Amino acid sequence: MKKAILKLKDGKEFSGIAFGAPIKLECSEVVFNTGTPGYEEILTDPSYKGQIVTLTSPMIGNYGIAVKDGESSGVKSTALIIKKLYRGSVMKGRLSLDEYLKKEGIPALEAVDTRALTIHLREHGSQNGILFYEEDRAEAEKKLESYPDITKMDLIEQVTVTENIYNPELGEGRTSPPSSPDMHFALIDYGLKRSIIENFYKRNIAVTLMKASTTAEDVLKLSPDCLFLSNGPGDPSLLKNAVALARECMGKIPVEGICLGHQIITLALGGKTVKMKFGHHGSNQPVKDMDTGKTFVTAQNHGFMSDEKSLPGSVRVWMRNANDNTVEGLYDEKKKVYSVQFHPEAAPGPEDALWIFDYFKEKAKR
Amino acid sequence: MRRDDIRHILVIGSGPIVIGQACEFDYSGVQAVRALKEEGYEVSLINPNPATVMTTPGLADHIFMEPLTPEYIEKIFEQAGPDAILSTMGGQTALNLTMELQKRGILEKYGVKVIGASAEAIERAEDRGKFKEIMTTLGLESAKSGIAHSIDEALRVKKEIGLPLIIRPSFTLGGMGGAIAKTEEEFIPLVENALEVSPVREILLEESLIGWREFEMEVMRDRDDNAIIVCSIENIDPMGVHTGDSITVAPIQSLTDAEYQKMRTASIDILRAVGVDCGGSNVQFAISPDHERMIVIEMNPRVSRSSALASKATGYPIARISAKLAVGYTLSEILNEITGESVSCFEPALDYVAVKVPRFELEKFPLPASALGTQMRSVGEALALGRTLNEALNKAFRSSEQKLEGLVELSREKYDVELLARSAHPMRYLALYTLIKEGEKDLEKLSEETGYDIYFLEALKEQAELDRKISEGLDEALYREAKMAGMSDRRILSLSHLTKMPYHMDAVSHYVDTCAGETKAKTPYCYLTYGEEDEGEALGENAVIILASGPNRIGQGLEFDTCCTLSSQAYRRRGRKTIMVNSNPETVSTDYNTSDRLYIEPLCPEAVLEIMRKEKTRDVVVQLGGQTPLNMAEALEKAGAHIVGTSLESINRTEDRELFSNLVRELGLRQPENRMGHSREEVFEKAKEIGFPVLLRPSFVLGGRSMFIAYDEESLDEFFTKMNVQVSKSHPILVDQFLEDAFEYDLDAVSDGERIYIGGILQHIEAAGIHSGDSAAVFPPYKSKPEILDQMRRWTLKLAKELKVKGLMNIQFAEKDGKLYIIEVNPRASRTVPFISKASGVNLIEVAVRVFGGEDLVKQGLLEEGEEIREGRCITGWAIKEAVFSFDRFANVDPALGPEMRSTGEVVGMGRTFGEAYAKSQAGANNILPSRGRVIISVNNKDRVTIAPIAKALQEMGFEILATKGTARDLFNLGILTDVVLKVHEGHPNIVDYIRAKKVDLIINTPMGFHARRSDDDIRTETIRAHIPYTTTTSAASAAVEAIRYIQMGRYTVRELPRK
Repeated sequence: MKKAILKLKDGKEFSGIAFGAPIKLECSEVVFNTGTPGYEEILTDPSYKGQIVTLTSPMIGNYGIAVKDGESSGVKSTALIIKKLYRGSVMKGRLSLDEYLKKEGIPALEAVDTRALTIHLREHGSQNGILFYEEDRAEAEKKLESYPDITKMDLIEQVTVTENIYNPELGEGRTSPPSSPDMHFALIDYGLKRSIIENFYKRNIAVTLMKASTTAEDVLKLSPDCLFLSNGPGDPSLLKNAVALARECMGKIPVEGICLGHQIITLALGGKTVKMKFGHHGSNQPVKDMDTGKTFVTAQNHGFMSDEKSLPGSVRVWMRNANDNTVEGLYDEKKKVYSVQFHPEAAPGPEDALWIFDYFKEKAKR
Repeated sequence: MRRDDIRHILVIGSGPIVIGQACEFDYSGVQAVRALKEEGYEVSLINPNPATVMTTPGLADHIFMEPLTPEYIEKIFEQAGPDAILSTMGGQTALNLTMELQKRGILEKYGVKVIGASAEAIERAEDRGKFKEIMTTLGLESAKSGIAHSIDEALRVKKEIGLPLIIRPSFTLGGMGGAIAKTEEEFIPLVENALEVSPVREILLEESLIGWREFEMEVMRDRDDNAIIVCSIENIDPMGVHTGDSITVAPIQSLTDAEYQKMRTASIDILRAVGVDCGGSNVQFAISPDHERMIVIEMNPRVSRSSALASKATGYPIARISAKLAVGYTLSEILNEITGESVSCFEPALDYVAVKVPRFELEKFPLPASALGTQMRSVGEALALGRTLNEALNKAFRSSEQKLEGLVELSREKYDVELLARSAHPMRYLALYTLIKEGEKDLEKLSEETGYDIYFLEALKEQAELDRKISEGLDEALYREAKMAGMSDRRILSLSHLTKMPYHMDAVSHYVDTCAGETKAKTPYCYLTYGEEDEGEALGENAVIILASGPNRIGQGLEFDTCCTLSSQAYRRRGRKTIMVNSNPETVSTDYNTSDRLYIEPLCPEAVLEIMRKEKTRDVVVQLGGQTPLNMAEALEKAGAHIVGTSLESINRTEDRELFSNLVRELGLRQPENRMGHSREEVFEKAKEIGFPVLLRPSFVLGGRSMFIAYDEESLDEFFTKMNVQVSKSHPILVDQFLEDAFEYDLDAVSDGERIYIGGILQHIEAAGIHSGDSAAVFPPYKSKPEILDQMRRWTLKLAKELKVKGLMNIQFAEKDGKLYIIEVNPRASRTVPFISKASGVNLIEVAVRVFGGEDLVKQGLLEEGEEIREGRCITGWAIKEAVFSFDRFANVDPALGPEMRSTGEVVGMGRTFGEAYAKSQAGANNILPSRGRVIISVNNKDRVTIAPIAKALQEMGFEILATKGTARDLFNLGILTDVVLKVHEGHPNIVDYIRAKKVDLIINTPMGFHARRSDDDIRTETIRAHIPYTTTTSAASAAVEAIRYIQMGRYTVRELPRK
């Protein structure tokens, strides 16, 4: 049991006990997630690329790692910070969290006052941080000092596919691709969660998973029913290529997106995105559908959002966060553009918004 | 949007506290009434339970402490004119009553709408057959089962599914009448019993899921189909134990997100299909040990014990929000008051673990090893919050006040640990802990054999490991680890073999904010933990700490919680800040807006001292929460606390037997002869000295534990042998003169040290020998001489002055042959304070709080200058408090009353006449007296003379009288001719045959004494099972005659409590 420290950019430190893989002195933005179960899905969510995730739920590792529940091929976040690690045995066929993180090469810290850390991030905003052992303090502090802000980093290249793939297999225990699909989506991978693909398969939609560098021409060549922009990490305003892709496809084919995809759509429509103080990361965010007045609980994970004031008049705010009224979804009927900021695929989180995929399918029909 | 088609809402309370329906419904009712008033509705309330906060004048617009029967409710419809009733706040009682009102057409007649859950939704949720069909259409699995209305049908189901089978009667509360049939022999009797207790003679026979994991979801849904899960709860104890009897943890710990979401979605689908569209519900699930099957067990379409627990575990006020939904709002229209920013349509996120440990009364209702089952048996519960599971577990066990200093090993001398580890028993989890601590390594095998998830066994292993390290040598780092794991200093000390703790660590407070720190909390709900950043600011010296009463138990429950709640309100009205400390999640005192700050903490000096230090205040109120806080007074004062009101020295003079005897002597008062025996021989000796009969009991009594009356040497011998009583130098037995057939009285007063205001004097209907908490009590005294009452007043004044009582005091008196005796003096609030306050129209708690603040009784306007004694009067003329029991939960417990308190709750009957008040008190206690029919009388020799005028009166009132042989003969000799009925052993048809066939309408049966127990036990237990009204004393029978006279007049009068 070796002690280690998490230091934030503003100087605040939290101590804990290291577990998982050895610490590699990597800086990242520190964020917190308030979901209760779902650490496996969170760790493997590529949107957490370039982030150190703190879980506010205090008891972690309780049910081990089922692997099939992962949202991508491995852990994407830089490190994990928790209050208490479960070190006991888990069900047959599962790995313990500690083993899994060791295997994945991801360091973690337990016995941290995660509540104080969360409150600090709430009050002072998400910011860069670094994990280190006391003996590496000087080097770590130097690294943290010079490490760039997340708004200056294009993280997409590290998480997107290297080759375009038609109907990728999702692995054991997951839905297979449809054998006779009734639609076909061009799905751009900015760090996609596989539950999104799974939800398309479940609705008999075939997908071509495409690289982040894809151009409009590449997409239109496939004549898909829809251009779908995935979730992903980082600041959308850096993604000039993605914004151009979306803009050029608009009016030609339906354009839809989730999370980062929604932010790219915002920019492509001529709006702006802004960084939030500490974002929305959790499984309990209420979202109101402004058309129907219904509210439902959603899974969310974003540190940037659409700036409502910047949206052009043709765009309608479809969804709002019922707590802080921020934009959670928008559409432009004329251009056939539809997007949501939250994660309708859940994983982890409530399944109340799964109907959004039906809606996406319906709206992509010619 | 607020509904404007209704104007005036009647809230139905849950009535007396019984096992399975306790003060959680006072909590939900209070929240509901407040929420509805806030919306501008006129609110009426019916609840005959005088111990409740909800019946405090001023809370609802119209308060009726009347029996919960359709007749009285109809009268309220007529008199007060509500146009809606809220059915979901009063437990199963209110749901059943709503259904009955609907069935009888009363709702329609008065144009009253049901809000909360519609009659149709209640039906769909409660009718097991219909519910199962709905599950099938939703694609959800329920346990294989069949419905039966007869034994034949039950046998057919058994053939199909096979044993073991769970038997559940429809429409009962707390799983009453439910059982698990494992063998052919027990099957038919259990089926018979279950059919009997179901009001519709319907039972469900179900595939046994014993050993599966059990989970609960607390769901809210509004009319726009928005739905949320407020809280998920995991039962640490596996299936086979009622959830009310299980140790539970929130949120769910052992499920993956995929599994959790499947359960979450299913819960919402169920609410939608059942049609709960404006309120909360509880849905229960079972998951097979391999996690392959998920089965829906049941749902309750109303607030419940679980929802109260969920509210306190999360900070989300379910009852309050349910009430708002019931009047038309949607979840997204209601603000979350905890944060003051977010809306109520979100799911609380917890950054702590909440553990509930049930509290049993094993001394009063002993259980065989495997007695827990589908029927709830625990009488209360404690909640603890901690940052880790073990911290919460250790705190919760301590909070349960069962002399368990956290997770501790069981004494092998006292328990058969191997047996308990494999039986459904309250001590089972600790039995497993004992095995693990003793070296059991194979947790997987243990998990398989017992059904406990390995996760919860690993928690025990971790604790055992920590214990071991502490025993091997404590250092500061280890001490810190132990504190962070929720261990008390006392436990650490005992493990470490040290005599004095060399270390200390300051506790810190965290806020319960519903959002895991994401938004700043606006309400002051905290818990203590160790080794983290402190969040709270001290309230300072202006704040007073009120110690509440902890988990409900027999003798200490809702009444004290009401005292604490009312005192907090009284203090706040006078500009002082209050800090409430309690561990009971069912209560109003733990509602987030009762006090300026709330700590959910174990009621022990260690926690209270940390709170004092943190809050920078010394004032502690110990006299309102019953015996629990009073027992801490000394430790607190020694550590620097200032005990508010009566001094510690005076408390000790009343609590310590010897000091008390001296006090009585010095003041020239009288108490029954009393001695102390330190050995069996000495007890015999002292008993003979005093003269039989004698009352035997241990010192520092709570609710009369192990009390016994010995009439002669033979029965004294039985006391030692049969009741397994131990006596030693350190555990002496008190031997008191027993005042047979004496009249008993309870007097509640407030003193400012110089004068007294007597709230009222209560006279018990049952004679001495029946515990005061179990006796019916009449306000004002109904048969006593004025000079005796005067003597009581003077003695009370003497005691108050001598002890310089500041605040409440309760005195129990007995009168025999014109002589007055003091039985005991309690320098604190008593169980009867809320009752007296309401019946006399003077809030004694408020008076006491004003005394604490230095306002004497003259300044308060209660007494004139120069006056020393004043006394309250009953506002309606007569008020009778009747004790309510939960005997129907314990098939083999004799309901005959004795010196041990066993009642779980109380009701009041108020009237212009004694008869009216008594009739209502009986109706309220669900002992609905007949107006005609057949009475069976079987009384012991002693009672034969007293019973004669009663029998005669009943005959004259048109009743047919049957008596057992001896009784009939003695009545005949006194000039009353009755028919004879056989006793059980005399052949057929006997008394029990009459009872079973329901061919009798009232039973008067007094106990035949220690020797002849068996035969009359049967009579009383069968009577309870058949729901036939009964009395076990002649004085109660005589009161019943008066009541029947009132009932025969055929009028139902309801009386509104005067508004404040």
